[in-house]
Amino acid sequence: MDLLNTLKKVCRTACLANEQGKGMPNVQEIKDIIDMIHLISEVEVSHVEPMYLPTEELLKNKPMRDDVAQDDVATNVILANSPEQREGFFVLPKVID
Amino acid sequence: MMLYKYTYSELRAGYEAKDFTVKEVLASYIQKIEENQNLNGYITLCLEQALQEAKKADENFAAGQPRKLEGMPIAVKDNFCMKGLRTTAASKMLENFIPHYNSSVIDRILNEGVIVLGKANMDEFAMGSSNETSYFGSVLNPWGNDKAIAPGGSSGGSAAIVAAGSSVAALGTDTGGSVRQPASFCGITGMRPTYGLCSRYGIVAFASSLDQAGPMTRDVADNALLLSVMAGHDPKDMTTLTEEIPDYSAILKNPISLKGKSFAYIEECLSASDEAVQRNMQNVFALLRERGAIVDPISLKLQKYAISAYVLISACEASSNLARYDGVRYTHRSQNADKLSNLYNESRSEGFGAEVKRRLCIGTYALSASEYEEFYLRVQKLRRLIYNDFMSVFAKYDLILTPTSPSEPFVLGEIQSPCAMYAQDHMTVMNALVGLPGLSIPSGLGAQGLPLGLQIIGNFLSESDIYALAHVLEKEIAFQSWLKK
Repeated sequence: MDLLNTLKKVCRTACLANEQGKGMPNVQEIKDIIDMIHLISEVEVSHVEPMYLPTEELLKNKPMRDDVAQDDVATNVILANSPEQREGFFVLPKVID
Repeated sequence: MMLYKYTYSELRAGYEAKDFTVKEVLASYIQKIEENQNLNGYITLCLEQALQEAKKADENFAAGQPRKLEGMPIAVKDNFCMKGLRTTAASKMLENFIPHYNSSVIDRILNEGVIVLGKANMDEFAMGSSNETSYFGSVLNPWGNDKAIAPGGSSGGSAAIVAAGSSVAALGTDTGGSVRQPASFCGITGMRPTYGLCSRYGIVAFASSLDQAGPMTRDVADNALLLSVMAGHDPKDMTTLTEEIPDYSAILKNPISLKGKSFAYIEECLSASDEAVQRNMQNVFALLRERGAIVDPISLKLQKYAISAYVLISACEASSNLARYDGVRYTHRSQNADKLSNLYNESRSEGFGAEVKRRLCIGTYALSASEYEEFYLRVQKLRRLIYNDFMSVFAKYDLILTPTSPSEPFVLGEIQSPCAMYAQDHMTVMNALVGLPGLSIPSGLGAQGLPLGLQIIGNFLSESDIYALAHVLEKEIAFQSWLKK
């Protein structure tokens, strides 16, 4: 596997700069971490059910709240932290030249 | 009077006896915060607001209507949203973010009368074990004196603040040890509760199946009291549990007998620790046995995979959670982007630090179509095996004991490799992976004269049992805190 190319592709997918020297993570460090997480392949898990939420048993049969949208925040509040805004909208660089 | 040295229980007794006022206590803290500026524990202070709250608290005491935590000065880790107060998660990405709402845990403690002093420094997005990944600079451990010792992480600011007398208590969050390890490093008490005990609503998300809020205090009694208020079901977080929350501090009024209690320690954790840590643990075991408790070694064979599993799961969840930071709505925006597609990449590359980027890459890689089964699916199966192991231990033993950290606190900058830093969480990730609670209490000093911590791990919702044991041990160990040494 060409790890550098894979890392560049991963950075693109994660919306991060994918050039060395422009903040792309160090290839060797990423390789070391992947080697470390790869350790889990030693464990036999073929007949085991995955556990995505550790408290699944405790939460079983608990009532869910109604899925109702709450429209209680004003537009200007939502926009307050925006880097750029105009007339109630987020302003972005142009998409079409 | 050096009021900043008191625990909240002591302050409370003084407030009620009219020995001093909340305003006087706050003045003492403000002076101490000034003196401790070099620790870099706070990112943002809100002392004017705190002074107003102190006035209100004094009025409540005078009217005979104090609330549960009336007049408790507290520092809040900078990943809890607070209305109108900058919340950065120690990232450039959120450098100027001002939330328009409180996190649910903040609402709970404010309703009971805490006084927030400010927002505490932390590792960026809670990713780190030394507080060195903060965009706002490292935090110093007060125990370091002339050496730059790490306070632990990610809740390093919270821990250093409480240890150094810049607040009586703090809120932290714990994903794989971020409350317990800094608590251990700074010689204070820190609890990671059962997953779902405290609401995650309004906490800047890192790894959603692991993140939990936890109290950090100078003793067990304050910790139990604070957790009693923080915990409880929240309709805004459907992973919160609906079980009734006991009054943990009431339980402490009658110290338990250790006779016949059964404790297990994990051999793999002990053997992976420094000699001083091992010796310290053996002293604790001897003490428990003297009081009639059974202390047995057990082997958890999957322990060796815990760090790998934790790094993998947390990175995958982080890569999904941090996808929201796009430079568009409320985050750092690059000034170098002329097109929308560049805006995302440039803003994220400028806004995130190196450790965050590494984890986003690992998570994105592991979740890719070609690697998903090998990594993500496999690790969730491993998680069930670890859960099964813990359940078989708790069928036989009341609680599990481990060191909180394999070594004494280290010097800032000493650990350079990411994998070596991840290994710092060796003792704390295993129970976090399966949602079990764990408490760290100070258990002595190591060879360098720096604090060591004992971790008590319990079954789901066993916080009362954990506190009960910790309370007894705290008295027996009689650890001298940095403030009182």
